[in-house]
Amino acid sequence: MVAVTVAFVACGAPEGEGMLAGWMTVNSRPPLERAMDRFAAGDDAALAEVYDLAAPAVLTFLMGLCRDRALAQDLTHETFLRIHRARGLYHQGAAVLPWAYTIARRLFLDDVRSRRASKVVATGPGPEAGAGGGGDPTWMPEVAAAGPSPEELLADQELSQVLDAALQQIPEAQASAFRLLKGEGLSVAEVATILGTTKGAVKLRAHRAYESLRALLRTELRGGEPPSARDQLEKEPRTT
Amino acid sequence: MKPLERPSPDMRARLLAAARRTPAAPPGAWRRRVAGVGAFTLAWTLLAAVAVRPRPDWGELPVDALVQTFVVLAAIAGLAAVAGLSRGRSMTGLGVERAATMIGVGAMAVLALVVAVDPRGPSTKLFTGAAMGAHVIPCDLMIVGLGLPLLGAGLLPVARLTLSRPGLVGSAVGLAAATVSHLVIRFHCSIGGAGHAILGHVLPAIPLMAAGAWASRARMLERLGERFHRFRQELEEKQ
Repeated sequence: MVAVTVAFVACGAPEGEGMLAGWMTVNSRPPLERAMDRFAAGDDAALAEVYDLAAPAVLTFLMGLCRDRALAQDLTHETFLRIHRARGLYHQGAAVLPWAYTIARRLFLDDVRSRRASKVVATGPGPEAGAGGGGDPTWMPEVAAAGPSPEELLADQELSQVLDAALQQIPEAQASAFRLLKGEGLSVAEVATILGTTKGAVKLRAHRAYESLRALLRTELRGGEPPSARDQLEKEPRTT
Repeated sequence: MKPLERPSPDMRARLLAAARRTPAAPPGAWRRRVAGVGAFTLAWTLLAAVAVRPRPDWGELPVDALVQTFVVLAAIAGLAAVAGLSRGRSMTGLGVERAATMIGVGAMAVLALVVAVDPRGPSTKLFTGAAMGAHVIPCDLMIVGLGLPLLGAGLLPVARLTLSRPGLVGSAVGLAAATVSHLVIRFHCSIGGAGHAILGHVLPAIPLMAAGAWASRARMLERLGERFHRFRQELEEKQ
């Protein structure tokens, strides 16, 4: 363990690299990781930058998980506080977003467990609320970029609501694998790290999620949903 | 899939205000913690080796078997410590596949050691049946007793991290602690045979791994830290 300690301490030193290589590494990294590097190095002001860059993704992820705006906001707050507390443990080169997702998901699961333990009735919608696109009337996603046309946005929003409602009806592990792979665009390896499982298990969960969603959405959209939305939903699972 | 939610300015301000009030691990905390664990492990190992007293017949033992034994045990302890203390690419600990491989390789190497090297190695007195059982228990107790402080120290660096598989990380640290204790007991124990080695030297790794997994999953160190912090605050308020 002593030899390992020496290796750890030695390996963690970026000063050991060449100056040019170090400069290139630092400057080719995404802005979120660069901000986190500065924050971990003691720059308190960089927390605001880390928050601005990562909080929307974390909040969106949590909204998808718990479908309760107030709870998602609280868990986002706690996620970033945990990142703040552990800032001295961050190592340069680590991916910030998968770390934040892991904390967020763990906090969500802890919250579910504590609610279950204290027998407090959850305020979120049950599976039966799915057809209407969720039980939280205040949940109206804001538009981050003004690229697509209003028609496209409306179709996306409808699709998103139907999909979210369907995701509430499948197991959390499958829904998380689906959200992280398709929604957040993470790699299978990153999702495996966040969910604490193997790459094979992630692929299996995602596959099961696709199958469940396909079956649910087929039933859901059999009514009056536009065919374009149905086509998109049918196509989406096959893209991986 | 869905447009990103935007946190409100209030949320942002609330977080920044809370962060100013919340103590955080200072820059370089990880290096200091890991270096501290290494220093503690070294000191504890030397102290324990002296306390349990080395066996007197070192000079008569076959050198190759001794070297194999100590190299293999040190490598397993190192491997398990790497598995336990690695933060991984995403700060959430080593991945399941790598950690499980490391733990599996470590466990297999210990078993291979006690079956193949031990019979001609450092252990010379052979016992069977009830006699072996009686000699197994002191070794078990010593390994668990020596390993517990190492386990606690090994879990300290990862105490504030949100790990994706805390149980796996805890059991890897438990294996490292058990193997270091096993190494110390090798300085002392002169009882031979694969039966004694497995029951007396390898088996105690299981309770230590289980304790590590439990402590890591239950965030025991964080809870103890919080309790200690509250106790200190109460004490200060009384004064």
